[in-house]
Amino acid sequence: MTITISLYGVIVKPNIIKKIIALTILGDTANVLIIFLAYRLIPFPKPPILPSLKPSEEALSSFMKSSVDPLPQALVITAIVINVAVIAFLVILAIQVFKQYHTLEYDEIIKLKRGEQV
Amino acid sequence: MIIYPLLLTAYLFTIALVFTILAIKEKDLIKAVIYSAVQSIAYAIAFGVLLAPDILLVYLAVGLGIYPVIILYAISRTRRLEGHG
Amino acid sequence: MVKVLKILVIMFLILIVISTIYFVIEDVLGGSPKPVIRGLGQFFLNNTYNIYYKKWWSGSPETVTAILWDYRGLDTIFETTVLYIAIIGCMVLAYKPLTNILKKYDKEKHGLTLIVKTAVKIIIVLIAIVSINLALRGYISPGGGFAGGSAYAVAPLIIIAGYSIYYLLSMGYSLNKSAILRSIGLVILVIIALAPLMYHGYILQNQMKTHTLFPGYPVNIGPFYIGGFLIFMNIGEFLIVSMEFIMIFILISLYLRGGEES
Repeated sequence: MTITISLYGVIVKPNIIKKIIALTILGDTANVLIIFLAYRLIPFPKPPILPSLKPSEEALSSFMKSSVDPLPQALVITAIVINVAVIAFLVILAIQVFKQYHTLEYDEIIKLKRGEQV
Repeated sequence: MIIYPLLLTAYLFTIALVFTILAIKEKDLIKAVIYSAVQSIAYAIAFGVLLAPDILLVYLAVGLGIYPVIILYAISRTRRLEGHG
Repeated sequence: MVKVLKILVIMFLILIVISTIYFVIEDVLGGSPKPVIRGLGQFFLNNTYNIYYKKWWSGSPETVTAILWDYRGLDTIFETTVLYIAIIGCMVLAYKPLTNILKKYDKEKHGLTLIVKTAVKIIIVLIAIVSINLALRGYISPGGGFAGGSAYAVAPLIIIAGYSIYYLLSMGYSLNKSAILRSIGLVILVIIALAPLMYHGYILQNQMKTHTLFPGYPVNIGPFYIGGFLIFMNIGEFLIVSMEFIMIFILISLYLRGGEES
Protein backbone atom coordinates (compact mmCIF):
# COMPACT_ATOMS: atom_id res chain seq x y z
CA MET A 1 0.00 0.00 0.00
CA THR A 2 2.79 2.40 0.82
CA ILE A 3 4.31 1.67 -2.58
CA THR A 4 1.23 3.04 -4.34
CA ILE A 5 0.95 6.13 -2.16
CA SER A 6 4.58 7.07 -2.71
CA LEU A 7 4.25 6.39 -6.45
CA TYR A 8 1.24 8.73 -6.45
CA GLY A 9 3.37 11.34 -4.73
CA VAL A 10 6.16 11.02 -7.28
CA ILE A 11 3.94 11.28 -10.33
CA VAL A 12 1.22 13.76 -9.39
CA LYS A 13 2.64 16.37 -7.01
CA PRO A 14 4.23 19.27 -8.89
CA ASN A 15 6.89 20.40 -6.43
CA ILE A 16 10.33 18.90 -7.05
CA ILE A 17 11.38 18.53 -3.41
CA LYS A 18 8.11 16.74 -2.59
CA LYS A 19 8.94 14.33 -5.39
CA ILE A 20 12.36 13.66 -3.87
CA ILE A 21 10.84 12.95 -0.43
CA ALA A 22 8.37 10.51 -1.99
CA LEU A 23 11.21 8.83 -3.90
CA THR A 24 13.09 8.08 -0.67
CA ILE A 25 9.95 6.55 0.86
CA LEU A 26 9.48 4.37 -2.26
CA GLY A 27 13.02 3.00 -2.11
CA ASP A 28 12.76 2.12 1.58
CA THR A 29 9.43 0.36 1.16
CA ALA A 30 10.79 -1.82 -1.63
CA ASN A 31 13.67 -2.94 0.58
CA VAL A 32 11.34 -3.83 3.46
CA LEU A 33 9.22 -5.90 1.10
CA ILE A 34 12.24 -8.00 0.09
CA ILE A 35 13.20 -8.70 3.72
CA PHE A 36 9.61 -9.57 4.60
CA LEU A 37 9.62 -12.31 1.98
CA ALA A 38 12.81 -13.81 3.40
CA TYR A 39 11.40 -14.76 6.78
CA ARG A 40 11.04 -18.34 8.02
CA LEU A 41 7.67 -19.34 9.55
CA ILE A 42 8.77 -21.64 12.39
CA PRO A 43 8.05 -21.10 16.12
CA PHE A 44 11.48 -19.70 17.10
CA PRO A 45 13.56 -18.36 14.21
CA LYS A 46 17.08 -17.04 14.73
CA PRO A 47 19.21 -14.41 12.92
CA PRO A 48 21.83 -15.74 10.47
CA ILE A 49 24.83 -15.42 12.81
CA LEU A 50 26.63 -18.31 14.45
CA PRO A 51 27.10 -17.41 18.11
CA SER A 52 30.37 -19.21 18.90
CA LEU A 53 33.69 -19.86 17.22
CA LYS A 54 33.90 -23.60 17.99
CA PRO A 55 30.43 -25.07 17.52
CA SER A 56 29.50 -28.63 18.26
CA GLU A 57 27.62 -30.86 15.81
CA GLU A 58 24.14 -30.34 17.16
CA ALA A 59 24.63 -26.57 17.54
CA LEU A 60 25.62 -26.36 13.88
CA SER A 61 22.69 -28.47 12.66
CA SER A 62 20.15 -26.52 14.71
CA PHE A 63 21.58 -23.30 13.26
CA MET A 64 21.15 -24.71 9.78
CA LYS A 65 17.51 -25.57 10.33
CA SER A 66 16.26 -22.51 12.18
CA SER A 67 17.73 -19.30 10.81
CA VAL A 68 16.27 -16.88 8.30
CA ASP A 69 17.44 -16.44 4.72
CA PRO A 70 20.72 -14.54 4.48
CA LEU A 71 20.88 -13.86 0.72
CA PRO A 72 18.35 -10.98 0.40
CA GLN A 73 19.99 -9.16 3.30
CA ALA A 74 23.28 -8.90 1.41
CA LEU A 75 21.54 -7.51 -1.69
CA VAL A 76 19.53 -4.96 0.31
CA ILE A 77 22.65 -3.50 1.94
CA THR A 78 24.04 -2.74 -1.51
CA ALA A 79 20.75 -1.25 -2.65
CA ILE A 80 20.51 1.14 0.32
CA VAL A 81 23.95 2.63 -0.30
CA ILE A 82 23.33 3.08 -4.02
CA ASN A 83 20.04 4.88 -3.23
CA VAL A 84 21.90 7.41 -1.09
CA ALA A 85 24.26 8.29 -3.94
CA VAL A 86 21.39 8.77 -6.44
CA ILE A 87 19.33 10.96 -4.08
CA ALA A 88 22.35 13.17 -3.29
CA PHE A 89 22.90 13.76 -7.00
CA LEU A 90 19.22 14.59 -7.48
CA VAL A 91 19.35 17.17 -4.70
CA ILE A 92 22.23 18.98 -6.37
CA LEU A 93 20.30 18.96 -9.66
CA ALA A 94 17.24 20.43 -7.92
CA ILE A 95 19.26 23.33 -6.50
CA GLN A 96 20.68 23.97 -9.99
CA VAL A 97 17.14 24.08 -11.46
CA PHE A 98 16.10 26.65 -8.87
CA LYS A 99 19.16 28.75 -9.64
CA GLN A 100 18.19 28.98 -13.30
CA TYR A 101 14.38 29.24 -13.31
CA HIS A 102 13.72 30.78 -9.85
CA THR A 103 10.79 28.45 -9.23
CA LEU A 104 10.36 24.84 -8.25
CA GLU A 105 6.91 23.98 -9.59
CA TYR A 106 6.86 21.66 -12.54
CA ASP A 107 3.99 23.45 -14.42
CA GLU A 108 5.71 26.82 -14.26
CA ILE A 109 9.00 25.38 -15.47
CA ILE A 110 7.31 23.93 -18.56
CA LYS A 111 5.64 27.28 -19.32
CA LEU A 112 8.91 29.15 -18.89
CA LYS A 113 10.68 26.76 -21.21
CA ARG A 114 8.10 27.32 -23.93
CA GLY A 115 8.60 31.06 -23.69
CA GLU A 116 5.24 32.16 -22.28
CA GLN A 117 4.82 34.14 -19.09
CA VAL A 118 3.74 32.59 -15.82
CA MET B 1 3.19 -18.35 18.57
CA ILE B 2 4.14 -18.30 14.93
CA ILE B 3 2.01 -15.31 14.17
CA TYR B 4 3.19 -12.83 16.85
CA PRO B 5 6.05 -11.29 14.82
CA LEU B 6 3.79 -10.98 11.77
CA LEU B 7 1.15 -9.12 13.82
CA LEU B 8 3.83 -6.75 15.06
CA THR B 9 5.04 -6.01 11.54
CA ALA B 10 1.45 -5.40 10.41
CA TYR B 11 1.03 -2.85 13.22
CA LEU B 12 4.31 -1.13 12.28
CA PHE B 13 3.35 -0.99 8.60
CA THR B 14 0.04 0.66 9.52
CA ILE B 15 1.89 3.36 11.44
CA ALA B 16 4.19 3.88 8.45
CA LEU B 17 1.21 4.14 6.11
CA VAL B 18 -0.45 6.85 8.24
CA PHE B 19 2.71 8.94 8.35
CA THR B 20 3.29 8.52 4.62
CA ILE B 21 -0.17 9.89 3.83
CA LEU B 22 0.46 12.81 6.17
CA ALA B 23 3.83 13.53 4.56
CA ILE B 24 2.49 13.70 1.04
CA LYS B 25 -0.54 15.83 1.80
CA GLU B 26 1.41 18.43 3.74
CA LYS B 27 2.14 21.79 2.18
CA ASP B 28 4.84 22.92 4.58
CA LEU B 29 7.97 21.10 3.42
CA ILE B 30 9.78 20.97 6.77
CA LYS B 31 6.90 19.13 8.38
CA ALA B 32 6.90 16.66 5.49
CA VAL B 33 10.55 15.86 6.16
CA ILE B 34 9.85 15.22 9.87
CA TYR B 35 6.96 12.90 9.02
CA SER B 36 9.16 10.93 6.66
CA ALA B 37 11.79 10.57 9.39
CA VAL B 38 9.19 9.12 11.80
CA GLN B 39 8.14 6.64 9.14
CA SER B 40 11.80 5.73 8.81
CA ILE B 41 11.95 4.85 12.52
CA ALA B 42 8.96 2.51 12.07
CA TYR B 43 10.77 0.72 9.24
CA ALA B 44 13.93 0.36 11.31
CA ILE B 45 11.98 -1.38 14.10
CA ALA B 46 10.43 -3.65 11.44
CA PHE B 47 13.91 -4.65 10.31
CA GLY B 48 14.67 -5.65 13.89
CA VAL B 49 11.53 -7.73 14.27
CA LEU B 50 12.27 -9.57 11.00
CA LEU B 51 15.71 -10.57 12.39
CA ALA B 52 18.12 -8.68 10.13
CA PRO B 53 20.64 -6.89 12.39
CA ASP B 54 23.08 -5.93 9.64
CA ILE B 55 20.55 -3.96 7.66
CA LEU B 56 19.24 -2.24 10.79
CA LEU B 57 22.60 -0.59 11.50
CA VAL B 58 23.00 0.66 7.92
CA TYR B 59 19.41 1.90 7.70
CA LEU B 60 19.53 3.82 10.99
CA ALA B 61 22.58 5.79 9.90
CA VAL B 62 21.27 6.47 6.41
CA GLY B 63 17.54 6.96 6.81
CA LEU B 64 17.64 9.00 10.02
CA GLY B 65 20.87 10.91 9.76
CA ILE B 66 21.53 11.57 6.09
CA TYR B 67 18.28 11.90 4.17
CA PRO B 68 16.51 14.52 6.33
CA VAL B 69 19.64 16.68 6.63
CA ILE B 70 20.35 16.72 2.89
CA ILE B 71 16.73 17.59 2.08
CA LEU B 72 16.83 20.33 4.75
CA TYR B 73 19.87 21.81 2.99
CA ALA B 74 17.89 21.89 -0.25
CA ILE B 75 14.88 23.53 1.43
CA SER B 76 17.00 26.22 3.08
CA ARG B 77 18.36 27.32 -0.27
CA THR B 78 15.01 27.35 -2.08
CA ARG B 79 11.44 28.01 -1.00
CA ARG B 80 9.89 26.59 2.13
CA LEU B 81 6.20 26.37 1.19
CA GLU B 82 5.04 24.64 -1.93
CA GLY B 83 2.38 26.11 -4.17
CA HIS B 84 2.14 29.06 -6.51
CA GLY B 85 3.40 32.43 -5.34
CA MET C 1 -2.28 18.03 -13.69
CA VAL C 2 -5.31 17.55 -15.88
CA LYS C 3 -8.28 15.78 -14.29
CA VAL C 4 -8.43 12.91 -16.76
CA LEU C 5 -4.75 12.09 -16.30
CA LYS C 6 -5.18 12.03 -12.54
CA ILE C 7 -8.02 9.51 -12.73
CA LEU C 8 -5.98 7.32 -15.07
CA VAL C 9 -3.01 7.38 -12.69
CA ILE C 10 -5.19 6.40 -9.72
CA MET C 11 -6.72 3.46 -11.62
CA PHE C 12 -3.27 2.25 -12.64
CA LEU C 13 -2.10 2.43 -9.03
CA ILE C 14 -5.09 0.41 -7.78
CA LEU C 15 -4.11 -2.25 -10.32
CA ILE C 16 -0.60 -2.30 -8.85
CA VAL C 17 -2.00 -2.75 -5.32
CA ILE C 18 -4.14 -5.74 -6.28
CA SER C 19 -1.38 -7.47 -8.22
CA THR C 20 1.21 -6.91 -5.46
CA ILE C 21 -1.07 -8.40 -2.82
CA TYR C 22 -1.80 -11.36 -5.08
CA PHE C 23 1.84 -12.10 -5.80
CA VAL C 24 2.96 -11.72 -2.19
CA ILE C 25 0.28 -13.88 -0.60
CA GLU C 26 0.21 -16.70 -3.18
CA ASP C 27 3.85 -17.19 -4.03
CA VAL C 28 4.20 -20.61 -5.59
CA LEU C 29 1.10 -22.65 -4.57
CA GLY C 30 1.35 -21.69 -0.93
CA GLY C 31 1.59 -18.69 1.30
CA SER C 32 4.76 -16.73 1.72
CA PRO C 33 6.87 -16.48 3.93
CA LYS C 34 7.33 -20.24 4.15
CA PRO C 35 8.81 -22.74 6.66
CA VAL C 36 11.44 -23.91 4.13
CA ILE C 37 13.72 -21.29 2.58
CA ARG C 38 15.12 -21.31 -0.93
CA GLY C 39 17.89 -23.66 -2.02
CA LEU C 40 20.56 -21.03 -2.56
CA GLY C 41 20.11 -19.53 0.91
CA GLN C 42 20.21 -22.99 2.46
CA PHE C 43 23.47 -23.72 0.62
CA PHE C 44 25.05 -20.57 2.04
CA LEU C 45 23.86 -21.41 5.56
CA ASN C 46 25.21 -24.97 5.36
CA ASN C 47 28.64 -24.11 4.09
CA THR C 48 29.89 -20.98 5.74
CA TYR C 49 31.75 -21.92 8.92
CA ASN C 50 31.23 -25.65 8.59
CA ILE C 51 34.43 -26.86 10.25
CA TYR C 52 33.63 -30.54 9.73
CA TYR C 53 33.45 -30.36 5.93
CA LYS C 54 35.83 -27.76 4.66
CA LYS C 55 35.29 -27.96 0.96
CA TRP C 56 33.27 -24.75 0.46
CA TRP C 57 33.73 -22.96 3.72
CA SER C 58 34.56 -19.31 4.27
CA GLY C 59 36.26 -18.46 7.49
CA SER C 60 33.74 -16.32 9.32
CA PRO C 61 30.68 -17.16 11.44
CA GLU C 62 28.78 -14.19 10.06
CA THR C 63 26.83 -15.25 7.00
CA VAL C 64 25.96 -11.85 5.53
CA THR C 65 29.53 -10.51 5.48
CA ALA C 66 30.79 -13.75 3.93
CA ILE C 67 28.16 -13.50 1.18
CA LEU C 68 29.00 -9.86 0.49
CA TRP C 69 32.75 -10.37 0.12
CA ASP C 70 33.48 -14.01 -0.48
CA TYR C 71 30.67 -15.65 -2.41
CA ARG C 72 29.41 -12.55 -4.21
CA GLY C 73 32.38 -10.21 -4.16
CA LEU C 74 31.94 -8.81 -7.68
CA ASP C 75 28.58 -7.26 -6.77
CA THR C 76 30.24 -5.20 -4.07
CA ILE C 77 33.02 -4.05 -6.36
CA PHE C 78 30.55 -2.85 -8.97
CA GLU C 79 28.57 -1.05 -6.30
CA THR C 80 31.73 0.82 -5.34
CA THR C 81 32.04 1.80 -9.00
CA VAL C 82 28.50 3.20 -9.01
CA LEU C 83 29.31 5.33 -5.96
CA TYR C 84 32.43 6.59 -7.73
CA ILE C 85 30.48 7.66 -10.82
CA ALA C 86 27.89 9.46 -8.67
CA ILE C 87 30.54 11.50 -6.89
CA ILE C 88 32.13 12.44 -10.23
CA GLY C 89 28.73 13.70 -11.39
CA CYS C 90 28.30 15.78 -8.23
CA MET C 91 31.72 17.33 -8.57
CA VAL C 92 31.11 18.36 -12.18
CA LEU C 93 28.02 20.34 -11.14
CA ALA C 94 29.01 21.84 -7.82
CA TYR C 95 32.76 22.23 -7.60
CA LYS C 96 34.08 25.49 -6.17
CA PRO C 97 37.78 26.20 -5.65
CA LEU C 98 38.46 26.60 -1.95
CA THR C 99 41.34 29.10 -2.06
CA ASN C 100 40.13 32.20 -0.20
CA ILE C 101 37.24 30.72 1.67
CA LEU C 102 38.59 30.89 5.21
CA LYS C 103 38.65 34.66 5.29
CA LYS C 104 34.90 34.74 5.82
CA TYR C 105 35.07 32.94 9.16
CA ASP C 106 33.72 35.00 12.05
CA LYS C 107 33.57 33.12 15.30
CA GLU C 108 30.74 34.97 17.00
CA LYS C 109 28.38 35.36 14.09
CA HIS C 110 28.26 31.84 12.66
CA GLY C 111 26.88 28.80 14.38
CA LEU C 112 24.04 28.05 16.76
CA THR C 113 23.81 28.62 20.52
CA LEU C 114 26.21 27.40 23.20
CA ILE C 115 23.98 24.52 24.33
CA VAL C 116 23.99 22.99 20.86
CA LYS C 117 27.74 23.35 20.57
CA THR C 118 28.38 21.53 23.84
CA ALA C 119 26.05 18.69 22.90
CA VAL C 120 27.77 18.35 19.53
CA LYS C 121 31.16 18.06 21.22
CA ILE C 122 30.03 15.10 23.32
CA ILE C 123 28.22 13.29 20.53
CA ILE C 124 30.95 13.29 17.91
CA VAL C 125 33.38 11.42 20.16
CA LEU C 126 30.82 8.69 20.79
CA ILE C 127 29.99 8.42 17.09
CA ALA C 128 33.64 8.01 16.14
CA ILE C 129 34.25 5.22 18.67
CA VAL C 130 31.11 3.27 17.77
CA SER C 131 31.67 3.50 14.04
CA ILE C 132 35.27 2.23 14.16
CA ASN C 133 34.14 -0.64 16.39
CA LEU C 134 31.41 -1.59 13.93
CA ALA C 135 33.81 -1.55 10.98
CA LEU C 136 36.64 -3.56 12.51
CA ARG C 137 34.50 -6.34 13.99
CA GLY C 138 32.49 -6.92 10.85
CA TYR C 139 33.27 -10.61 10.57
CA ILE C 140 32.15 -11.67 14.05
CA SER C 141 29.24 -9.45 15.00
CA PRO C 142 26.72 -7.63 12.80
CA GLY C 143 28.02 -4.48 11.14
CA GLY C 144 30.78 -4.45 8.62
CA GLY C 145 32.16 -1.82 6.28
CA PHE C 146 28.89 -0.20 5.22
CA ALA C 147 27.46 0.32 8.69
CA GLY C 148 30.73 1.70 10.04
CA GLY C 149 31.20 4.10 7.13
CA SER C 150 27.67 5.46 7.22
CA ALA C 151 27.77 5.96 10.99
CA TYR C 152 31.10 7.76 10.80
CA ALA C 153 29.84 10.16 8.13
CA VAL C 154 27.13 11.52 10.46
CA ALA C 155 29.75 13.22 12.66
CA PRO C 156 30.94 15.94 10.22
CA LEU C 157 27.31 16.52 9.30
CA ILE C 158 26.48 17.50 12.87
CA ILE C 159 29.53 19.74 12.97
CA ILE C 160 28.32 21.56 9.85
CA ALA C 161 24.89 22.04 11.40
CA GLY C 162 25.99 23.14 14.87
CA TYR C 163 29.03 25.16 14.01
CA SER C 164 29.41 26.29 10.43
CA ILE C 165 31.07 24.92 7.33
CA TYR C 166 34.05 27.24 7.77
CA TYR C 167 34.85 25.61 11.10
CA LEU C 168 34.92 22.22 9.43
CA LEU C 169 37.26 23.47 6.74
CA SER C 170 39.57 25.07 9.29
CA MET C 171 39.67 21.76 11.20
CA GLY C 172 41.51 20.15 8.36
CA TYR C 173 38.84 18.45 6.27
CA SER C 174 39.08 19.31 2.60
CA LEU C 175 38.12 17.79 -0.70
CA ASN C 176 41.66 16.79 -1.63
CA LYS C 177 42.37 14.90 1.57
CA SER C 178 39.08 13.03 1.39
CA ALA C 179 39.78 12.01 -2.21
CA ILE C 180 43.26 10.76 -1.27
CA LEU C 181 41.96 8.63 1.62
CA ARG C 182 39.21 7.26 -0.59
CA SER C 183 41.76 6.19 -3.18
CA ILE C 184 43.84 4.46 -0.50
CA GLY C 185 40.81 2.38 0.46
CA LEU C 186 40.21 1.47 -3.18
CA VAL C 187 43.86 0.43 -3.61
CA ILE C 188 43.61 -1.91 -0.59
CA LEU C 189 40.53 -3.56 -2.13
CA VAL C 190 42.13 -4.02 -5.53
CA ILE C 191 45.42 -5.47 -4.24
CA ILE C 192 43.72 -8.07 -2.05
CA ALA C 193 41.30 -8.98 -4.82
CA LEU C 194 43.95 -9.47 -7.49
CA ALA C 195 46.59 -11.28 -5.40
CA PRO C 196 45.35 -14.86 -5.94
CA LEU C 197 45.90 -14.51 -9.68
CA MET C 198 49.62 -15.16 -9.17
CA TYR C 199 48.94 -18.68 -7.90
CA HIS C 200 46.49 -19.66 -10.66
CA GLY C 201 43.51 -18.98 -8.47
CA TYR C 202 40.54 -16.79 -9.30
CA ILE C 203 39.81 -13.22 -8.28
CA LEU C 204 38.56 -12.70 -4.68
CA GLN C 205 39.42 -16.18 -3.49
CA ASN C 206 39.42 -16.59 0.27
CA GLN C 207 40.11 -20.15 1.33
CA MET C 208 41.64 -23.19 -0.34
CA LYS C 209 39.66 -24.82 -3.11
CA THR C 210 40.45 -28.15 -4.75
CA HIS C 211 40.89 -27.00 -8.34
CA THR C 212 43.39 -24.19 -7.74
CA LEU C 213 46.86 -23.91 -6.22
CA PHE C 214 46.26 -20.90 -3.93
CA PRO C 215 46.66 -21.87 -0.27
CA GLY C 216 44.19 -19.26 0.98
CA TYR C 217 44.49 -16.33 3.32
CA PRO C 218 45.33 -17.26 6.93
CA VAL C 219 42.52 -17.68 9.41
CA ASN C 220 44.57 -17.28 12.56
CA ILE C 221 47.48 -14.94 13.20
CA GLY C 222 48.96 -15.78 16.57
CA PRO C 223 46.24 -15.65 19.21
CA PHE C 224 43.94 -13.45 17.10
CA TYR C 225 41.21 -14.79 14.90
CA ILE C 226 41.18 -13.18 11.46
CA GLY C 227 38.66 -14.58 9.02
CA GLY C 228 40.71 -14.75 5.86
CA PHE C 229 40.76 -11.41 4.03
CA LEU C 230 37.51 -10.10 5.51
CA ILE C 231 39.05 -7.70 8.00
CA PHE C 232 41.09 -5.86 5.38
CA MET C 233 38.12 -5.60 3.05
CA ASN C 234 36.07 -4.10 5.86
CA ILE C 235 38.75 -1.50 6.56
CA GLY C 236 38.91 -0.56 2.88
CA GLU C 237 35.14 -0.28 2.55
CA PHE C 238 34.94 1.86 5.71
CA LEU C 239 37.43 4.34 4.22
CA ILE C 240 35.62 4.44 0.88
CA VAL C 241 32.08 4.96 2.18
CA SER C 242 32.87 7.50 4.89
CA MET C 243 35.08 9.70 2.74
CA GLU C 244 32.56 9.53 -0.10
CA PHE C 245 29.75 10.87 2.09
CA ILE C 246 31.96 13.60 3.56
CA MET C 247 32.77 14.84 0.06
CA ILE C 248 29.07 14.99 -0.80
CA PHE C 249 28.31 17.03 2.32
CA ILE C 250 31.06 19.54 1.70
CA LEU C 251 29.96 20.01 -1.92
CA ILE C 252 26.29 20.52 -1.05
CA SER C 253 26.85 22.98 1.77
CA LEU C 254 29.21 25.19 -0.22
CA TYR C 255 27.02 25.31 -3.30
CA LEU C 256 24.99 28.50 -3.20
CA ARG C 257 25.59 31.76 -1.43
CA GLY C 258 28.65 30.94 0.60
CA GLY C 259 27.08 28.11 2.58
CA GLU C 260 25.69 29.25 5.91
CA GLU C 261 22.96 27.25 7.55
CA SER C 262 19.92 29.55 7.40
